[in-house]
Amino acid sequence: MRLDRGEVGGTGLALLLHAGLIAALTMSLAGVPPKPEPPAMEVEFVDSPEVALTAGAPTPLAPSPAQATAPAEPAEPTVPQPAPAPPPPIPSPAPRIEPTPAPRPTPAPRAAPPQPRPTPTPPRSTARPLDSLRLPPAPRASRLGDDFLQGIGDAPSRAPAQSAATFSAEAKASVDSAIKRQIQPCANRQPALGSGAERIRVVLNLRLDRSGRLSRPPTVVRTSGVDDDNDRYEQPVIDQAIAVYRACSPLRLPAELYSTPQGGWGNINMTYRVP
Amino acid sequence: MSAAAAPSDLMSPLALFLHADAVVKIVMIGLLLASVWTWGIIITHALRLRRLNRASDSFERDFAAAKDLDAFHASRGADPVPHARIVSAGLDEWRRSVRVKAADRSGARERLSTVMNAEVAGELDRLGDRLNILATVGSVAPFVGLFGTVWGIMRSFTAIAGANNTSLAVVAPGIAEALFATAIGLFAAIPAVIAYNRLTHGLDRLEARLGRFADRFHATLSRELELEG
Repeated sequence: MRLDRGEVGGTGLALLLHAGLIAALTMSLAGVPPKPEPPAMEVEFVDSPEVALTAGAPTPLAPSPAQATAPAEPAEPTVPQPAPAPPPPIPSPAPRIEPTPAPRPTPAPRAAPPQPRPTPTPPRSTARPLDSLRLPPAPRASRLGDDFLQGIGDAPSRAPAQSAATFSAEAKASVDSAIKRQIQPCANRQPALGSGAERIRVVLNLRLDRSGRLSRPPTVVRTSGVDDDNDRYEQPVIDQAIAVYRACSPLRLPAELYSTPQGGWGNINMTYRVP
Repeated sequence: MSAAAAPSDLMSPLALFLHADAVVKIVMIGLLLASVWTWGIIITHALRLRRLNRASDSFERDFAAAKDLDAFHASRGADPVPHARIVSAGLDEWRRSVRVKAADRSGARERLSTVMNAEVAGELDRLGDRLNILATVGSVAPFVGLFGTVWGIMRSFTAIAGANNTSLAVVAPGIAEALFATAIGLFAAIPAVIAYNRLTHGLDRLEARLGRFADRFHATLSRELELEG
C-alpha cells in the first residue's frame, strides 16, 4: 500500500482536523460542567443542619444568628434574667405611653394604661414608690423612655455565649461528617424503598459510650416529611434508620468531643434520610 | 475507575479516553486511526475527482476543436487526464495496426476497442483504489465501537460487584467511557458511508464519461482506418 503525494496531503489534513476537533471538544466540554452529573453524584442522606448536640447541656445553646428558628426554648430562660435588673431605671414607662405633656398626672390614670402590658407589671409595682418621686423630670419632649438602654444591657452578656456556640458548631460539623461517612456503607446496603420514601426525615437520638458503641437502641425523636403519598413508608424508614446505626455501631469519633460543656457525641441527634 | 475525577472534566474526550480500560483504549485508538484514514481518503479522492472532471472538460473541448490528431497528441498526450491516456493507447494501437500492409481492418477495430476499454478500466481501478477502505470502515466501525462498549460495560459491572455499591456515581463513569467507544465508531462510520456512496457515484459518472469518449475516439480511428486503406 503505497501513498502518493495527494494521499499524504489528504491524510495529513485529516489528521490535523481530528487533532483540532479533539482539542476543541476538550477545551469547551471541560469548561462547562455537565448538567446531569451533579444529581448522579448526590448520595448524601443525612441532613447536617438538623444535627444538634443536645446532651446534658447545662446552659442552653445560644442561637447563632443564622438559626433563628430553632431557639424557642433557649430564649425563655434568658428573658427572666434581665427582668430583675430594670426596676431601678424603669420609673418612667408612663411618659412613653402618654406623650401629652401633662406634667402631673395622677397615679390612677397612669395605672390604667400599663395594664394591657402583661409582663412588666410585677417589676413596676415594686417601683411604684420611686415612680412618684421621679415623675417631675418626666415631662420632657423626648419620647424615649428611661429604659431605652434596657436591651443594650444584656447584649454583652449574650456575646460570650455566641462564641462558645460557634466552637461547638465546628465540632458538631466534624462529628456530623464523621458519623455520616461511617454509616454510609451500611446505608448503601439497605434495600431501596418506594418513591416518596426519600422525603421522610427521621431524627434519631443516639446514646453512645466512649468506645463509639450504642449504649441503648436509637430512639425516634421525630419524623418529618410524611404526607399522604408516603405515610406507608414511615415505619420502614424508621426501621431502616435504626438498622443502619446498629449495623455500623462502633463509630470512631474524636474522644475529646465525647462530652463538652456544650454537649458531645455521647448523646446526639442525627437526621436520617433514605439514600 | 474515575471516581476521583472532578465532574467538570468527566466529559472531555481525553479524560474519557484516559480512564478507559486497556481493551477499550485499543479500540478507541483503532477507530480514531480509521477515522483519520477515512477522512484522508475522502479529502484526497474528492479533490482528485474534482480536478479530473475539470481537466476532462478542458481536454474534451480542446480535443473536439483539434484539427490534427497527431499534433494534438504530441502537445496534450502527456496530460494527467484519463482521456489523454485513452488517446495515447488508441493512437499507439492504430499506428501499430496501420504499419503493416494488408491490415485486417475488423481485427484492428477489435483491438482498438479492447485497448481503449482496458485503459478506461485501468483508470477506474486506479481512481477507485481506496474506496473499499471506506466501505469497510463504514460497515465495521460501528461493530468495533460496540465491542468496545460491551467490553467497557462488562468491566464496570464487574467493578460494581467488587465495590458492593450500586450507587449511580460508581456505575456511571465506566458506562460513559464505554459508550464513548461507540461514539467514536459512529463518528468514523457515518462519514465513511456517505463518502463511499458519493465517491462511487462520482466514479460511475466519470466511467460513463470515459466510455463515451473512448467510443467517440474509436469511431474517429475506425473512420481513419477506412481512409487509410
